[in-house]
Amino acid sequence: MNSAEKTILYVDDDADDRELLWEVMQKITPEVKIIFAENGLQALELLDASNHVRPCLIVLDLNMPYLNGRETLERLKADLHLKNIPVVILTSGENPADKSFFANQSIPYYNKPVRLVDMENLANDLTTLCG
Amino acid sequence: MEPLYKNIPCIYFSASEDGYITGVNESLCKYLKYSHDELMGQKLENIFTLSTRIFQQTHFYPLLQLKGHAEEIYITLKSKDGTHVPMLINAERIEEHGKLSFYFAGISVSKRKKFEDEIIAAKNAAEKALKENIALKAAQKELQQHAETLDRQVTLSNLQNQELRQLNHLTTHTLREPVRKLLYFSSQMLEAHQDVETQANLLKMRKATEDIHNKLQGLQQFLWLTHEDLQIEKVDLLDVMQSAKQLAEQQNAGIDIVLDSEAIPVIEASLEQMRFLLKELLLNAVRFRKPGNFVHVQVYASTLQMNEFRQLSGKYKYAEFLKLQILDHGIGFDDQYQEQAFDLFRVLHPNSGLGTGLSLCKKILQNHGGSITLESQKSLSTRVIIYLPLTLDEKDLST
Repeated sequence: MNSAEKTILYVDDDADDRELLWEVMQKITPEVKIIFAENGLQALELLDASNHVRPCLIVLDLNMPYLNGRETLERLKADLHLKNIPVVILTSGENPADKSFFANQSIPYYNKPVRLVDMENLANDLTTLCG
Repeated sequence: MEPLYKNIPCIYFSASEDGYITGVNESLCKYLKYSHDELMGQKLENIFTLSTRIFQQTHFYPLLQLKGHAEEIYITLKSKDGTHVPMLINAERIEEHGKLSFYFAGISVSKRKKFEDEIIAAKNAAEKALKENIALKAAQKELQQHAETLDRQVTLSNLQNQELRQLNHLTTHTLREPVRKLLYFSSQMLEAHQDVETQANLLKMRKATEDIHNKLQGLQQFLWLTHEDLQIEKVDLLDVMQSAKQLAEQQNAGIDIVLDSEAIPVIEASLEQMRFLLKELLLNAVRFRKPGNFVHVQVYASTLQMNEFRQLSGKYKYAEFLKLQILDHGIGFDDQYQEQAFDLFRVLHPNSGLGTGLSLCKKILQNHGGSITLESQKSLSTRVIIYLPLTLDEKDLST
């Protein structure tokens, strides 16, 4: 698989955040495609086998309506076809209990950046995690 | 004496107007244990009990004089051996040959009296039971009212708790999101606008926004400590202290922290919160160090018995506590203001961070049923004294 085929699925209910990450990734790593879902339910629909969508990485927000980040992760890990797709958490929440919960599962945990430079670093990290 | 009424199964006697017995039948003699002759010519009063005598003079005779007859009169006769024989009698006043005579006939009601007594006793018992039942019902009603009040209060408290959680979510998440974006956009603008004046204004704006952002973060941590359930496990505080030292050194490049600690007993606590607590305390030691890059922290540990009751006087439940003293040789402060040091967002010194650290530490100690105090001498040292129970029951926890 070459990098031109890489697709990241970013699941976040916040339109601004979706746009910000898209903008930066366009600038930094234009070869990586980014697709969006507004919540966990929509993400799972998108990943339904019949759609043939297989991202190299799923970026999950935690605080979302319908199906939040934790619940979405549980469903992903319970699905034979999806459980091997790497997942990272990208959230504005700073609850230490959340942080240790994901650390215990070896799932990278990022706080949403407040500076442009941090957002660029994040875009690079995500591209690296895509393998 | 006519044989007809001599042995008839009812009593009969007669008396003259002046009260002397003029005739009795055998049944009466049997009841009163007198012979026929003993009774004849006796004063009637001799076979009446005291109460019957009074009744006879005040009611019975006046009734006979007035109406000529009396029915179903209850009297008590007195036998030769003094026992009382209750009787129900009818009486007639009859005039014969110009003389007045009184005729009495009746039946013994000693059994009926016994039944009556039993009925009265039963009635009294029923009334007593009724009274007790009424008292019981009143108590039940009161209990029911208390239960209803309690239920209303619990419902109200649940509602308020729910509202509080929503409010928490509002402050910690809903408000923090736009502030975070403002920060991000201001950093974008700083990149795009290079002229000095715009940069200066943008930096001011960014600093103010950062301030709100950080304060919301402090609030978020405070609420996390208030509402999160404690995950209790065995915690090696010395281990946690070493990790906190590394973190504090990472966050303060160039700073060298030297940690001298006694052995600390393992306690039951939330590892997450102990990490937070010790990191905050070490960061304070760094913030308030004497000029230079060297921070010396000494830790003393001991155990003691303490009363778990803090508010109720006269209540005692002793448990084993850890007393942990963390001493730094920094700039110190006037500890008469230490209460303020534990206030949320109270900044006592320009080096203070957000002003949340110590209030969060206090919250953590409260969560564990412990306490924290400070002893400080300006320009010399600060000693943080912590008491933590060695073991924790679920029921002891405040959250």
